[in-house]
Amino acid sequence: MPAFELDRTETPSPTNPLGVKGIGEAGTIAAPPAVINAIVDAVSHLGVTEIGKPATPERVWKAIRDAKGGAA
Amino acid sequence: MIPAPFEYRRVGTVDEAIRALSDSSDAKLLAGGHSLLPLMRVRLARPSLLVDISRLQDLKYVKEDGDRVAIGALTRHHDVANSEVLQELCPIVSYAAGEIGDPQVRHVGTIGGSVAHADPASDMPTVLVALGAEMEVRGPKGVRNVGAGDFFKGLFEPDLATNEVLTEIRVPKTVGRGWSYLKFHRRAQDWALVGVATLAQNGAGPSVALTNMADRPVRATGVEEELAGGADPAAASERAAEGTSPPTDAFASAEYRRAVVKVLVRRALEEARSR
Repeated sequence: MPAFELDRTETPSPTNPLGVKGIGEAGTIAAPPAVINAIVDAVSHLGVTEIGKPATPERVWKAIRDAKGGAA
Repeated sequence: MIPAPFEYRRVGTVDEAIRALSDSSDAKLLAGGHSLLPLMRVRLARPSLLVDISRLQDLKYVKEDGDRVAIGALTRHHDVANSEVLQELCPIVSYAAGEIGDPQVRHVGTIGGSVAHADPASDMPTVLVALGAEMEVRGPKGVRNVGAGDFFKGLFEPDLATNEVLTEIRVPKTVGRGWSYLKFHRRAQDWALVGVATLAQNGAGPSVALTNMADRPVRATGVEEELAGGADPAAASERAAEGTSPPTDAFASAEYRRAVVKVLVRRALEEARSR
């Protein structure tokens, strides 16, 4: 093996305030927000803008009810 | 987790089981063990003696009995689900048995064990209450019969003395009567967050019973009243949560259960009408 030198480089991500990036199974990182966003999108016409994870049936039900101003 | 120490005795007859139970103040019967053993492993149950009745072959049967079907208490859920007698004569029972747990559970757990455990989240007790089933109980003084509506007295509290054995469950033949058992759960093998059993009655409004809406399976009397008065499923189901006291646990709040039960009752009533 030839001699080699170790070095490091830092390139902060410009897309978020912390400059962080996902590493290791980075492909999985997008899936949960995609699913949650899909659920929010499906009920957005009812006024829902946010649903916590995990999106249990009860959470979705409550989000819809709260968006309607408490009338389930 | 490892259970607290206990003695183990296998018996060959119901009478031997009754004698063994009478010898100890906190003995428990072991049938399929699918409710009792998990509780022992977390030490919520600490019986000093287990009386193993799992080999009592003469308590494993499903047979016609006049205008009823008799089910031996040690009949496994799988065999109840696949019984041609029940599928033809009382299909709500065979259907509900097929909804209990997963295939492994159904091959080991027994109908008598599930009923005697009296878990309000279990499927079969609710179905038996909707049917007006009858339980045969044997003890030192002989045999007595208890209606399903009286048998489930509270949380894990069946109408069974410590030295009595549930031996048979009798259900009416329901040929031609619409029925439905629906449960709402997180995953297929989970207990019902809420369940509904309904059965059309000859010359009266349908019976409606609920799973996991109180400390025992309960009749939805408000819904039954509405149906007897001619209301349609949508109107009648509005009263589904009336008089209930559902639990709040890690999986659902009482408030959510009260909302879900209305939807589930409506769907069950509609399904029963289509059968």
